[in-house]
Amino acid sequence: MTRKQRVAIAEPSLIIRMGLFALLKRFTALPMEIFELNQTEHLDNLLIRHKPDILIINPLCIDANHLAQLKKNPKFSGIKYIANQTSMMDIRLLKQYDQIITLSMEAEQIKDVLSKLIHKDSADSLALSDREKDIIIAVAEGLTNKMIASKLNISTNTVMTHRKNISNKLNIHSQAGIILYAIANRLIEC
Amino acid sequence: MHKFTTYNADDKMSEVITENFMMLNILSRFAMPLGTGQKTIKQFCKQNNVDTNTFLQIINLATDDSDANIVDAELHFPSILRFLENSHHYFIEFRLPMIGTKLQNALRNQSPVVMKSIMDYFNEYFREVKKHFNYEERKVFPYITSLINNTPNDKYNISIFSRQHDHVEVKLMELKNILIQYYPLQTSYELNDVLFNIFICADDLRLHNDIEDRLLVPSIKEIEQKTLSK
Repeated sequence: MTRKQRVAIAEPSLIIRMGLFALLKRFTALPMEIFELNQTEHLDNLLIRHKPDILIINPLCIDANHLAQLKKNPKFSGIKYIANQTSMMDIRLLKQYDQIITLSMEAEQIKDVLSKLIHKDSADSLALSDREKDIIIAVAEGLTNKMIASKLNISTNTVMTHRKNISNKLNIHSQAGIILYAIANRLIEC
Repeated sequence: MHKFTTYNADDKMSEVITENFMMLNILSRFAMPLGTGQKTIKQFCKQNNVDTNTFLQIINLATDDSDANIVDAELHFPSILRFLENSHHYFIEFRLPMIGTKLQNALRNQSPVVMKSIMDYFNEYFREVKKHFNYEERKVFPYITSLINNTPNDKYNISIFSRQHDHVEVKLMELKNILIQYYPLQTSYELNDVLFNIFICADDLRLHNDIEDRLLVPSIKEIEQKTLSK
């Protein structure tokens, strides 16, 4: 079962935003939930609140450093970025994005862009790997990342990557939440 | 997201409540009674010594789904601070303890480990919310009072608060999601009742945060800038 992808449109122009919104609504075959962000001043807060899987944003609304920070921030891991290019733009800036759509594109082309991103996500399944289960057990036992790394003989960075993936798959972001998950699924002794 | 309704001072108070029952909480946080009769918002606010502008901005924020800062008239700070303190009281003394009791009751047939782990999660969350509110009452609200009385404390500013202001509702939502997605608990009247309460409480906490982030902080920033430029 594919989870609906939350698609946020961040675009200051009302006309473009509503146009894009109406267009995306027509792609009923894509499992999407679409919503608009009509301002981007507090983008980080909006992302925390709305938890989009895909953010379609006008690259003029967000400077390159900010975008780079978002991509590095574990809180926002898993978000995919589509540039909605409305004007001439330096190609180096656009390279930061996963995909680009432009004002001159046909509906089918825009649909292709979205479906690429959406299906990419459902392909790597939401099921947990055995390794991830090991990590959950260790987290639930209260081990730190460093302790987990030495116990499982992997690097701390790898542990962090696993934890990020676990959070995305389960939509659980706190350690207390991981413990609850582990108990519910009898990964640790009850 | 679109703004569905914008109330103005001449709309009927009774309609505000019937159109959105969560407004009852807002009334009680302004210490307003029921019995609105045919009175308009302006009349009813005046009768109860509530600043109409502040009241309007809060109810309009509650019906507004966007994320814009919508300060469009001067806020009456003593009113809004009293409002926020009353909200804190409501969450800490009433709503969250009630959810705790109901949760414990709904889980009474679960294994002790399941019950304990869920209650631990909830209790830890409750402690965090208390700490969060306590900080605001100890640090932020006195700062705002000193600022509007023209005796600002220059060691603090509202940006410190807005930077570290976390969203207290997030963890409550997480608990709800974990229960719904991962615990094969038999649905029951009691369990549904807890979940309904959690949904409502999380929405209410979000509105509470919105009032702080979108009304209070921008207005205070404006005052800080004026004070600085003097």
